[in-house]
Amino acid sequence: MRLKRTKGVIMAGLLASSGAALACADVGCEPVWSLFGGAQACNNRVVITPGNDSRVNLLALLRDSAGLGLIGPVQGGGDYLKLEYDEDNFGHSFLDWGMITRHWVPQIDPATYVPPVGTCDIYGSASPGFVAALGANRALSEAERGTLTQAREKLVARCSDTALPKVLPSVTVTSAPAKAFLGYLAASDDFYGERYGEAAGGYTALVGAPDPWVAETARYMIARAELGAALAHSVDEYGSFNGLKGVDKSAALRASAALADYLKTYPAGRYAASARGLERRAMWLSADFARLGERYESELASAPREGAPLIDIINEVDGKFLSTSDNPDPLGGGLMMLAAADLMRMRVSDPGDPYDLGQGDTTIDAATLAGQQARFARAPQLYAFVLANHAFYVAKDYARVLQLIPDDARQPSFTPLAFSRQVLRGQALAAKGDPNEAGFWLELLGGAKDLWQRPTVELGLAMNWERHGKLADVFAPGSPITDRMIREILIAHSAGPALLRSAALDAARPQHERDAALFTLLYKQLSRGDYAGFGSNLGLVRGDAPVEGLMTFANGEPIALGLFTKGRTAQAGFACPALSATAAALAANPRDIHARMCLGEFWRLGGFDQYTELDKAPPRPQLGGVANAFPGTPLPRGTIYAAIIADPRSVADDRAYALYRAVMCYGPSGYNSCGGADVPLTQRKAWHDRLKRDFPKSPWAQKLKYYW
Amino acid sequence: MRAAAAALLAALALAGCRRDAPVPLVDPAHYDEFFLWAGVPPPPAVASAKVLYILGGEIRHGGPVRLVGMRAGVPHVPRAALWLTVRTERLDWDGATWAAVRAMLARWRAAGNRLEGLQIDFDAATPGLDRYRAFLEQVRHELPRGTRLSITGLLDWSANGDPAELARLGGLVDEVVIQTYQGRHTIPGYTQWFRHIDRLPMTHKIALVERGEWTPPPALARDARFAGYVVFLLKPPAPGDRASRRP
Repeated sequence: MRLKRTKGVIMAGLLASSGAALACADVGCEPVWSLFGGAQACNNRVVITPGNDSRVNLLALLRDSAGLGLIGPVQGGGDYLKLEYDEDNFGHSFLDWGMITRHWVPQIDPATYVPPVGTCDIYGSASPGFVAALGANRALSEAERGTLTQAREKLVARCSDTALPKVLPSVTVTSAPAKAFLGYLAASDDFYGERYGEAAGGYTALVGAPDPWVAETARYMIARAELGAALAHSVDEYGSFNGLKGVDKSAALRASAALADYLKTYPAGRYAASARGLERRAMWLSADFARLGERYESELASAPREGAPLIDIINEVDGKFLSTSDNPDPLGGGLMMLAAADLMRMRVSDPGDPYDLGQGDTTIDAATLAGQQARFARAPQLYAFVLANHAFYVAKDYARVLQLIPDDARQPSFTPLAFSRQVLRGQALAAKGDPNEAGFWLELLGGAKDLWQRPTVELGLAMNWERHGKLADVFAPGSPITDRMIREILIAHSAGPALLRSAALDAARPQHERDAALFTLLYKQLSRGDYAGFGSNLGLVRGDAPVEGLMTFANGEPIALGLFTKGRTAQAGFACPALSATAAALAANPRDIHARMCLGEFWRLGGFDQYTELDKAPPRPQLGGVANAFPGTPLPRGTIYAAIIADPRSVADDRAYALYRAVMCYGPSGYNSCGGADVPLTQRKAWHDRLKRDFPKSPWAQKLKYYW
Repeated sequence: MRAAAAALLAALALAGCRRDAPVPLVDPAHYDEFFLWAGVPPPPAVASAKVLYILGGEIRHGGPVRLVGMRAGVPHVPRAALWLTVRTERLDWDGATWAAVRAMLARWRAAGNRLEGLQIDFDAATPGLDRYRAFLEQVRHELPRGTRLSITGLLDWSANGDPAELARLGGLVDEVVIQTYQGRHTIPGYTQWFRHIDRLPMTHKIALVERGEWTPPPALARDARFAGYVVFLLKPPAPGDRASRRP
């Protein structure tokens, strides 16, 4: 699925907007900030978990079996992968298969690579092998070599341009070896012309040819032709692969036999590696999933533990075996595939995710897992981990998790499985409300050195502290909670005024975190009516704080802190002083009508409309979802206008402008952009009519043409 | 740029943040022109489609320029008018790329399809339309005579595109299909980009996303060059299958 279609709109909007930002953008992945890994999501975790992409879990298990970390050594030391724009919110806590793929699948070197763009190009790129074979055959005359070379060139050209004249009828050679080569060309002409039956027949006739290249290549190409035949009717009218149901299974079985025959005749042949790979294709096309599962297990066992080939085989195993409804028995693979398949069947919905799409449709039961004991005999720790995941996510039997996974938190480092086991234990401690939970996380921190591991443990610890009244510990000097995003989520949602102020003043912390704390403090004081507090903290805004910036913190981009000191406070037609003066007036009299109108102007001109980032707490099961030490509720500008319209003390100018603004809250979309209670269309019409009736001379009455 | 991008995306998303009233969603059954992307099973409405834009290939950024085929075989849909869509993330096509595109067009035509022509699907940034236009001039030059050319366009072209540049573009392409979605969702606040849709100086269709919001903006009614809707079909939703999330 593509995530796109924004650039032009973005550039255009820059001209019109003062550069405010908030949540609600429809791009990218917003992880659920908790350790709950039971639900499938766009973000994955370093912890092997049911909700992860099965490919990430397979990778973790394969790397674990070699004593390696998820993508580097377990002792860490590597760099975090660069995040694409739609992964901004991952921080160092989340990842996905795309990132890992980017890490290992190299960009092709454009200087040396000639891309084949279709079957005809592949046909052409195989020509040198043919020409070399002609050269190696001493029985051919020079003239015959020339004739055959030329014939092949013409055939390749005709492959992509069928308007060219036919080639073979006019080619004549007389010697027996030359006739064999010509027969090969004829079979290949059928092959690339998608006449697979004729091609297979032609190649079959050549397997006894005296020329070793012709004999071997023909024997290999029989299988290729049969694979082509198997797929010949598998494409629907729109040109899409129609699934295994459209495949000619008997042709796929013939391909299997032909590949076995080739490999038996030429165990170290020039096409042996290709033939072994094609065997998997033939097994898949003939729906022989039992053999395919065995083959994948041995391929996984022998695959390199990094790089593009590892990515390729994992993708293939997942797409052709684990995650396809074609396979009647996805649990039929070997150890690691079995564990990955089991975990996929433990997906449940995430109580902390309002956008959760529900659990998977096939939940595995405990009896099935118990029946797998013998198959996991070689890997008792993996088996216990699989059982513990079932206990945690499906049975919700947290005591059982603790039984299955003993405490092993004090280690110098953790492989992916060892780490996943301990994190699950920590989650079970948390679920049970165990008093030793925080201590457990603190111990686990010591060995959480691989990429993504430390932030994962910090998340567990931070949530414990948040839920146990120890928010200040998170921000104390020398706090073990170092992850920027974890700290800034608690700043945005949990910290109270005193903690925010001290975080803003903490010179030991990065500027971004300090800006986030001060922005949150000022925004909340101003929106929740602590105007005196706002006034006393406004001086903390650094002189070079940007006005253009974000009001969200996740991606680490500059924060628009300068809005509070240098942002626009007035537009032509309605005079307002600097924000500090407005705040001072409101501190002296919170019901000051003009100052309240000016506060609305600041919110409006600063781009705060529908900015709820700091007002809406995450759901309770997420980080920042429980503690909220900031008192008060925000006052939306829609509420300001409604109050002033209704206030008999308001002067004409203020009231006319309040009416105008109240109507404009709904223009032009008809949706309320000002916050506060939505009012029906009749009310908006009444405001419009009242402005026209009561203040006909007001510029605002003249400016307002419609209501929405 | 990234910060700015996020800012604007967010600004665009404003209207989408709090929706209470139910809004009409795009149902393919009510339309007869479709984008058919790879891996999307066609819904029943496709069987009676008048026009199909089928993604035949992609040219991706990174590495050498290369046409990657997106279909297992050549479509055979003689009952509909067919466009071969090539999605491209770059404009530095070389000779081999043009040859590959021409060959694909020839194969689709030879399969008995009523092939209308080539559609280029490229996110041309509105301020960079001149560069895109230069590319399209080359497309015109490289395509066999008589091949029609369609391009996709962004929602804000009519509002923010340089009118002179748009006029030049209009002389090069046979139609523009304006996309109203981003990912799987209609761009929130889309109506505001339609105020001047009738200024687009070429035949244009409006692309809607399946299950996305759509209420025709009033300006479309007076838009003489509006040539209908094309629905971008999506895979049916599966549990946990989400490319994006809305907070």
